[in-house]
Amino acid sequence: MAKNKFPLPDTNAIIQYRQNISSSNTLIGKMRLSMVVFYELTATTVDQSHLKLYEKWHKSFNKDGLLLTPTMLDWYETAKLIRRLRFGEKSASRGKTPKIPNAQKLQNDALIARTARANNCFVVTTDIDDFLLFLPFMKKLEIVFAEDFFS
Amino acid sequence: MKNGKSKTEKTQKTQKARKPKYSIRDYQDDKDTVFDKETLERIEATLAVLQAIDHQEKFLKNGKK
Repeated sequence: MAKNKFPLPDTNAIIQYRQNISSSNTLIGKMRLSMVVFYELTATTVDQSHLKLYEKWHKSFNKDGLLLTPTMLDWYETAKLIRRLRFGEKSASRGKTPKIPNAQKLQNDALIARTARANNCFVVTTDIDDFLLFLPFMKKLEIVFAEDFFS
Repeated sequence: MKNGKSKTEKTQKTQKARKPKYSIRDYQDDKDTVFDKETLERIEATLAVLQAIDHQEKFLKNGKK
């Protein structure tokens, strides 16, 4: 029985677990798609003929309101989060956090996390360590390790 | 029996602890499930993209060899 939150797979989870996702129409019907994930997949397409498939995919999720696109506020909050990580700022819930000088590299993951939290989703990811860094500053963020989710 | 707990009890507890909060098993297809037109279109479009990703990954893997 599906829970009340919706799965939001990140790019690597979609690539690595594509066969598992294909095996469940119910999962596809329930899952949400992040515009950031869509961007990452489309930008790395090597075959021109695949672009039409991506367009159709984009349209179908967008039409149903299931394509999660970061808003202006999401970008601003993500920028603040990345800044906090860079300087190792204190978290209200977990105290001091380690400094991550190159936290800008986490921008896309942070946007996925932010939109997931704002849209009642949980993130399914293979890069759980990166997403765990956001937890001190995103209390209600739910992250699921793809290996566990698809096992 | 060890520490007052049987092996079965211990195994059950470990399995419970390791069970993820969310799992693909929560989304198993049911033969009685009926999808509306929009969802069917979304499923079809997603399957086509996943197949394209599969082709691309195989192509990249073979290209590297």
